Amino acid sequence: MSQTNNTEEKSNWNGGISPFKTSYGKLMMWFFLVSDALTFTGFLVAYGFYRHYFIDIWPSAENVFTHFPFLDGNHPLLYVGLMTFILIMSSVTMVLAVESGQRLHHKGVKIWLGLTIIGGLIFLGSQAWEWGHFIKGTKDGAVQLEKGYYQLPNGEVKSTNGIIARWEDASKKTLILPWQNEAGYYKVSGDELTKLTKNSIQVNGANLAINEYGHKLFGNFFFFITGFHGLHVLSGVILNIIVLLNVFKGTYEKRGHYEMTEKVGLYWHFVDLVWVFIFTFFYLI
Amino acid sequence: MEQQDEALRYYHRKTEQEGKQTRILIWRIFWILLAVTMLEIILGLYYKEWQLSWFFVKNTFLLLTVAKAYLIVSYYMHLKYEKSFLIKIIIIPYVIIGGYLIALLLNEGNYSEVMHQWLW
Repeated sequence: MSQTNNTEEKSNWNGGISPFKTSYGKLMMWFFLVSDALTFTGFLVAYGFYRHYFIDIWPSAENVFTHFPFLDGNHPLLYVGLMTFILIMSSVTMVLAVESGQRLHHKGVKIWLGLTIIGGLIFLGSQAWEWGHFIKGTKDGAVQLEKGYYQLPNGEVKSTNGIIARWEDASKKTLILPWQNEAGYYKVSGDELTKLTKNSIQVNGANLAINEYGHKLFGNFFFFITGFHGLHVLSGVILNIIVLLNVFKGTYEKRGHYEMTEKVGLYWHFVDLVWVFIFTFFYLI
Repeated sequence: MEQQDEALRYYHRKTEQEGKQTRILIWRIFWILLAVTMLEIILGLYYKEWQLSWFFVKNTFLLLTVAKAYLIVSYYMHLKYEKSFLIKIIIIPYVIIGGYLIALLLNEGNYSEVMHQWLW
């Protein structure tokens, strides 16, 4: 075999071997991930465009996702930090399952793959909890103003169509407008408030049509991008369960290799990779 | 060649000794990823108190994100140890789309301001 290779032209492209030194299945998984990452790029770029466009009334994630289970008060970034930790941890257990497979250590594959599935399920549950809080919203809620114009004290005229304004406190006597100067946000109260909120709507929580934290597109992008990512996590968990069942049946033991764990492993790490970017663009920046 | 043989042919079998070294590397990468994530969260929570400029903090986040992506792709997805041609065909599309997006930003960045009255 090596004799004939030497006499022929020394090229990876003459057929008979994979030029990438990879099997067909793994190569196709890489190509799928390249295209899927471009899909997420498109979503995040669209998010960036609309965020830049509605920058005055775009909600800041640190004012939106402030809850933590069993803790009262304001805890921005803590819960999403925990979710990120869970996903990184499940990525580690996945790569350890792949490593066990490479040594044909069957018990190790079962343990680490099982832990990866548990990590994925905990992540999905956390995301459901966060969605629930976002949909339910705060107790006081906010006010969505009607079509019209409002003159700021500095003379600037702003369109009030669809603008979200928050109450200063639970007494609902002062409304904080989303525009600011050096001294802080402009506030309205008294007669001016009655005039401004004549046709306005009280908003609690967020859905696709309305969002108490700011522009509704924030909610739309949040539901769509984290939802699409959550769908990837869910399908990753299902793939992992199928592979784990095959490991218990002894399919890969019979084949003599655990390449299937490497393929689902690539997919699982990709899901973690996408979360790294969502974490940055949605929660940090 | 049979279908089943193909995957077996390119499968990286590892000895116990190699496996031990791989595990050490895996855990080292995990601690780095965890430390970077903690750094990002602490920076996000306290940058206002420390009076750091938003421009600096924002770009630090971007750099740290790219660093984390590099670690995950090259070590956990094992891309660093693949054939260099495979690395190129996976990375080059993103270099191209990155350049395309920057060109779009510089060339059409004022589009949203021009379109303000129609998009609102």
